[in-house]
Amino acid sequence: MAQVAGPIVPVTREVAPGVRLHLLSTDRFTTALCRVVLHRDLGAEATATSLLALVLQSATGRHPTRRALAHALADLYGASLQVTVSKAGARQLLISTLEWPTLGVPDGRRRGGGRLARGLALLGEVLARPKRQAGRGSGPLDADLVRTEQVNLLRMLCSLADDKPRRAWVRCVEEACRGEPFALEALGRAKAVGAATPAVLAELHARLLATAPVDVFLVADVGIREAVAVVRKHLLWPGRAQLSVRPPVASAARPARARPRRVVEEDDVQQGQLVFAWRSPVRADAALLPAAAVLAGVFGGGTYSRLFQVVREKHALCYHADAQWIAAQGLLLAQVGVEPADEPRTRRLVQGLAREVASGRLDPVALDAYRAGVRAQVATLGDDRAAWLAWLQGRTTLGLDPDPVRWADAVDRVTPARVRRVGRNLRLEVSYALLPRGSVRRGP
Amino acid sequence: MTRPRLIRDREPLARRDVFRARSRHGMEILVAPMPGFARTCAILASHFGSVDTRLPDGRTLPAGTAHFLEHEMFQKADGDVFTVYDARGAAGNAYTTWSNTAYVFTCSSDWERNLETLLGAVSRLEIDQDDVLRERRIIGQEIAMYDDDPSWRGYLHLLQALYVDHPVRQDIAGTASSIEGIDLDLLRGVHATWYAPRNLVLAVAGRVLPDRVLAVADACVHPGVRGARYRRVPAREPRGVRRREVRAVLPISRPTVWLGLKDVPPRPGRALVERQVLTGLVLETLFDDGGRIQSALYDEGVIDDSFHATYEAEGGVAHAVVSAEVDDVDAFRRRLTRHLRDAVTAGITEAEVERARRRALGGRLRMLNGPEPFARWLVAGALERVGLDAAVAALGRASARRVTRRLRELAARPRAWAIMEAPATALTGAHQVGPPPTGSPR
Repeated sequence: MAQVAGPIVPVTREVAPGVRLHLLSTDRFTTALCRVVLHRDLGAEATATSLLALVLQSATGRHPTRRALAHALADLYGASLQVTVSKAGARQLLISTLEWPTLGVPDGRRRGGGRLARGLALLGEVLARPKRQAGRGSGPLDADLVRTEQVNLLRMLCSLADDKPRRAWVRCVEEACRGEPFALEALGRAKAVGAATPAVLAELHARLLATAPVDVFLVADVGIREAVAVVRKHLLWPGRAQLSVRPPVASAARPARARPRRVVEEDDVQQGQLVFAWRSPVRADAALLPAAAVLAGVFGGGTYSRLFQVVREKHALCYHADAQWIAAQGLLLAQVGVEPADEPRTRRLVQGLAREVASGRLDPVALDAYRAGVRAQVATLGDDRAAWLAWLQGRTTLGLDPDPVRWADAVDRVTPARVRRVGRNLRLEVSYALLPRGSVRRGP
Repeated sequence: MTRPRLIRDREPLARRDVFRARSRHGMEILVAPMPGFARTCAILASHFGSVDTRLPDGRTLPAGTAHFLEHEMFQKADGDVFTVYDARGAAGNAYTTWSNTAYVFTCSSDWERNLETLLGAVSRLEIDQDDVLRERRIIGQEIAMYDDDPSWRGYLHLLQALYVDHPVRQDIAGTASSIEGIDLDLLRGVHATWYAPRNLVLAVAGRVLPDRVLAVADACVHPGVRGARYRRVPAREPRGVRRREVRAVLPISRPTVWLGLKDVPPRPGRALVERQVLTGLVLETLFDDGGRIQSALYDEGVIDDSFHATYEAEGGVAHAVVSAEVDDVDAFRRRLTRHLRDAVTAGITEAEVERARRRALGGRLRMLNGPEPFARWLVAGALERVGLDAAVAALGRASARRVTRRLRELAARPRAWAIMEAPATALTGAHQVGPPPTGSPR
């Protein structure tokens, strides 16, 4: 059984209809951290939701300029605020995170108030009391603010293509998940930005606050009773619909299409980017999920993996090579950056290694290293709040058991036969290559 | 030889103990036990970095030598050290900066054995010519990866405009052609010279016992080849800039503008930390989110969240950098220059300094939130000969008058612009949504 030091499984309470508080009570950090996640479908309103994130992050009714809000954060000894969107399967997540010092600063540890309450209150204000037209308490959001953030969102969407490895990854996912919500960029689409008007955003905001399933993650030096009280008093907003909503499982696994597709595109790049997408109809809540994770880990999970050891270390074809299992989609994704002339050879090598691992031939060194890595990660999860949040958010979003020790034990029990069961249905869906201009041979 | 002694010190904000010692063979050691944490992080750093371009015997080193050696250090005759760490559930890593090269592990158990592995690995270079040839190809792909990173390329263009002769003009990893000149003999010479114990700093933070760290260090680090005591030969560098403006076209969607202010490098120690703190406060008050110039440019619609400012003082160079992705290069330059001039005239207020000071303290508190950031902070301080409480004390001494004086000094320094232009087909100027806000200067 995996060993851990200190608490890593949160205490969870429903603090309002459809609002779950997950508390990690600890005194080892100098700052408190709170994240509020609102769940919604990834679909037609994705762009409006990502615009809403930018608007919420920029100003509130009480702090009506970006400067005023920045000063409020500075007064909390450099609190850091981030409101953003992410995606998990068919779900879009509106994520608001605040981290602020509570140790080594005045009033840091005062119970029932002090800096913990001040931080939660500011986060609640950011989420629930946006800047509205003419300073009113209701109605459309502030038009100038929305217009500014529309321009910023368009700029962000435009700039995404500048990151070439990321662009290759996104394009492969788009091709592999064509027709599914997951194909959509979490930030949305440029052409939908103009339709997200101040009135549209106000309605969306009110609806999300009233009905969206909400997860609140809090890491602080506070007990559960006090945490519930302080979250209810300072963070939560009025007007929740009186229904207890639980987010549905976001998993959308399906078998691969009959024939794999090869997509080759050109851009102004020095290095070729190869991205591969395989599918296996393993749902996130399936008993085979640990075996799928082992498959991905042995294949490309770290420096011990087959991708790293063979493509980089043995053949010196690349600097980076990795793979991961996207549990919400039943997708195995791998990426390698190579000299363009080495693309055909690397492609054959990568696909050969995928077949090797899928057949249940698990390199014992890689398998042991993957398991040891999972155990170590679990043992130190309480040391690293970013990792803890990522773990817990991922598991709660998919409706899975949040206990990391049980996950590590399940990984330990995976046998080659179980990996083979996943691999039997693993099919290449898309092989994508982003290559320098002029390097693709044209047909007659 | 006298028995090494542990000296207890205290980090001033969270009041955490830090123990210092020098190993029997001269390696500097810092240990920070962190009760409650399960993880341990160790960083072993050599003073040797990418700006060190000569051996004491006069041999010139090709660009990328320090980084090449970093790639090779974990390669051993019986396999590589990453594999050893992987098998134990630990994680190994390494990185090279202008002024140092560092080797890292983090683990959740068996930290003594992992420390032995780290110290043993960095003490001996065990590669052959085939390893060098193979690693050259891998590094070639790393260089190609950074060539596709527009931020990195823009930053390099700025450094090449700011500096006339200094090796900081070269990419830390070198170039595809410069690494062709790196061979086994050269790497052996570099290792023997700059990886001697007295040129190394070890910081360990987390679930550790200080006296055990010292015992492991004494047992595992041997003098070996004696090596020269590290002393960076200052590069000859005029005060002025090489070019006031450079332009390049990159495959980007919007232009990126970089402004560099070339500072006079401070000496390591107290002068360095004083400079870093005061310049940090200048940048916070003007350019950080909510800062005077950031707010003005943001409200004018000239910048977005890509706007960024930083100060770097390391390896005999010092400069402040302000950068942003923009739609209109000329408008951004004009307004940034005007706002900077206005700030120099008006000066910084006490309220602004206090707000920036709070932010800086919050940032320092974050460094104590885990073994990795704490160990990084300890190593950086040791390499630059900065005491644990130096930065907090300097923050306490900062006043509006002193911060304003630093602003005026910095603004008067030679400056260079690097303009990274988008190709003509990029979507520049296509970000208008509806009519501009009433009264907007756009």
